[in-house]
Amino acid sequence: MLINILKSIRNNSGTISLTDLSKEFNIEISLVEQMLNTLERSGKLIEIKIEGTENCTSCEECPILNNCSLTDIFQEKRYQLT
Amino acid sequence: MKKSLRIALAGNPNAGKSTIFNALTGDDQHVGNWPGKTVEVKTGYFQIDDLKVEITDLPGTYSLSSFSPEEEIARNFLIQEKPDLVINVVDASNLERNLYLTLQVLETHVPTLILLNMNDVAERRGLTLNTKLLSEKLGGVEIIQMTANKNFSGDELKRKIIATAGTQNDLHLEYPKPITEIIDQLVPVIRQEAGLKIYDPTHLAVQLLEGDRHLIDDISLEAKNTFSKILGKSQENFEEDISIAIADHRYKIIQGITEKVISRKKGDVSFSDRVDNFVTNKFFGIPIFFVTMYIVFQLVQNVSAPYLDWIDGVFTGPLTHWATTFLIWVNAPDWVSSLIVDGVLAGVGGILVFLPGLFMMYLLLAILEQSGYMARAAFVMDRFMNKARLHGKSFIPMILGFGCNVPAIYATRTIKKPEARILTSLLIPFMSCSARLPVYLIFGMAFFPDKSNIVIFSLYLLGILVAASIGIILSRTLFRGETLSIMVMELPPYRLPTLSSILKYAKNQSSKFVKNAGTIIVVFSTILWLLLNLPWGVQNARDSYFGQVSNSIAPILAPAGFGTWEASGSLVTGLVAKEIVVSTFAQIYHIPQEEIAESDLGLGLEFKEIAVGFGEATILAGKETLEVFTPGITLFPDEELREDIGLSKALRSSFTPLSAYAFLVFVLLYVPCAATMGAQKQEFGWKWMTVSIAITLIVPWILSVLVFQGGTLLGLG
Ligand SMILES: Nc1nc2c(ncn2[C@@H]2O[C@H](COP(=O)(O)OP(=O)(O)OP(=O)(O)O)[C@@H](O)[C@H]2O)c(=O)[nH]1
Ligand SMILES: [Mg+2]
Repeated sequence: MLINILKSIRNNSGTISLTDLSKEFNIEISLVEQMLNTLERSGKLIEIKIEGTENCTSCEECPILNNCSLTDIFQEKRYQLT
Repeated sequence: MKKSLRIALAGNPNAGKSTIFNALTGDDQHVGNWPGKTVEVKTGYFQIDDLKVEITDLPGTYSLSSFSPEEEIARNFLIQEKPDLVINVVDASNLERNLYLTLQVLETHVPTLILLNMNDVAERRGLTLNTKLLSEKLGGVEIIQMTANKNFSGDELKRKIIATAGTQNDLHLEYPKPITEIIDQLVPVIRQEAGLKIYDPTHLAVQLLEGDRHLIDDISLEAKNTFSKILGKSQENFEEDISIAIADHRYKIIQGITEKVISRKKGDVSFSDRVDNFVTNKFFGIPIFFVTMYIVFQLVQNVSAPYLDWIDGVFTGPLTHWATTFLIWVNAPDWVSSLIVDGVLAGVGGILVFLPGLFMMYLLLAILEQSGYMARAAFVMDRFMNKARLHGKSFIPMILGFGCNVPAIYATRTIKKPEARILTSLLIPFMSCSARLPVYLIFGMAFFPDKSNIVIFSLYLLGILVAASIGIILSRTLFRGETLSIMVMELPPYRLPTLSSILKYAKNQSSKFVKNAGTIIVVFSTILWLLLNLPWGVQNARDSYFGQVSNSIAPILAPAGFGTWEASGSLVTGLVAKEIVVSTFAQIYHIPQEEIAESDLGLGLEFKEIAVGFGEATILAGKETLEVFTPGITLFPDEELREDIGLSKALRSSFTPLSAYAFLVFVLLYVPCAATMGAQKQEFGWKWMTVSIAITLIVPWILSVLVFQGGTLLGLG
């Protein structure tokens, strides 16, 4: 199961969503989530976070136009194959 | 019989542990930090009969390895403190996910009671759980069902706690043979080590195989060597790691259980799924995204236009009049009046006119984001970027670039490979940041009054296409060898956005914009005013220092159709920040104060005029907004043509629609702003900043020339 998910991610040429995986394997999304979490633990996937923005002294003080209006998009988790 | 019990609550985040903890303990609780950790652990007490029970609310975790401090605390508590009972709080609506932790808890062989919570949610989702069967499958563990936040049955729970505390739990997971063989080799070694007596040998063996090697940090060297030998060999025979094989086996067990235990009401594809099938469809996804953005721009434009007239009217009319009156009254020298009226008021007014449009845009973006659509759009765009052979991680910074390029440049730090990072940072400037929107709006309305949304939309699209093309070119030349990596992402459920939160967001973003207009633009307008008036007393702005410098650049831009000193001057000041392009035009084309017809309406009438103007603008914006949703049907026939603001007229005197579009292409693609350059310098050094500047000067020049010359050939000029 877990191994098949990993294979499916590897064989996919592009981004896939948890919904895609849940349909492909006919399992609940929450289970897919948990599996990705496990794959992350074993170092097969890494979660992509927006680090690095720490040097922007907060959007509030962004020197020019501080309307980085799309930051909120990234509440969603993203993983990438290692 | 013991007079006191120690028990713990364990479970996934949000399963309801604290709700149950609070209901059981009331006020009798205290918060402490786990030694050496910053994670909070709450302990509380309750009494039943003459038994005192100490209960610990463990942090919520999805598993019990030492992946995070929370998990380590939860696990150490179960293994080292050996509580009399652990209450595993399970979210019944999410059984599949919760069972992973449950299996791990049961594997520790601590006495366990399962509390199936959130039954109301499970019911709403049409799930029925066979708890008897579940208990059987889990080695006969006790289960009680509850909806903790609605009808918490404390007495029943307390009785069950006393009854189950200290009982054995008998679940033995049978792992497949290759795994058991290795476990069997490890167990005798574990048994021999005095330091490992607290552990259940089989459980410790499994944990070691799952990678928690530090559990055996403090044992004898001899035993350590034996472990290393066995563990070293353990990787053979497995397709992936042995840890994956173990986890895989747990998931098999979970699936076996849930298949039998959960029955679902059939036939209801959820609303969310149905929408997703459409919105993230391989073929429709991108068109739908484009249509959505098209509507957004249409609305932004429709709301902008009427208010733009109104704010412009307020600035050039009453405000200017009041300022002039005041300045005359205080006997201000001419140059001060000119600075304030022709410089600051013109510059700031030129920018503030966009506030309503931007407010609308923030509002719409907040709606799209909070409803969950933005995540889908991001997903669809993601696939597209992947096709363009961009590094998966490039996507986040690129999307951030639509807001502001500066944080986007910093966000490239998530990309570990230096070449991929630099490549991404070179593409970010092509993402149309929101500072460029005012330029599009003012030109769109002046030259393409009925189709400015198409124009704006085409610019955003062009930015993406240029970024993708340059990405492809660079990744095959300068940055070869970059491999693709695949991304997986989560799509949140659709929700109804709340009015208060979208308003708050739009308000926050707009106030930033206003603050910006009040600081940078004021300072810059002052500087520009000075440059436009030096050498002192210059009659024609064209002969000012600024005009002369701009004029010397103009010939370079002539092939693109906008070789005027005004256009090149605005582009030069736009290097500081893109919205300054607009305020510069506003200042250059500002009609000097003397020429304004003296309006002597009196203060009261002027206020009335402002208020009436606002009302009219609002009605007009409302009408036009409604018409967006009835395509092809004219609800409100145009009573009169909208009056033009002065700047539009002035622009039309020096641009044709074709050269205006070429100009917008240039604005879209050229050096974003000083701050972005600064960020690039800081992150990648002078060399790459220079490369970036070169690219963002050459590419826009080529493309705007192509647009203008191509358009002229096609007879569009
Ligand atoms: N619908 C419903 N909501 C519940 C139920 N039990 C708890 N909740 C709610 O779920 C939310 C999370 O509950 P908590 O008790 O804070 O969860 P927790 O397990 O302590 O979460 P963490 O401390 O994050 O691990 C709260 O808003 C509770 O009011 C239930 O049976 N049904
Ligand atoms: Mg809690």
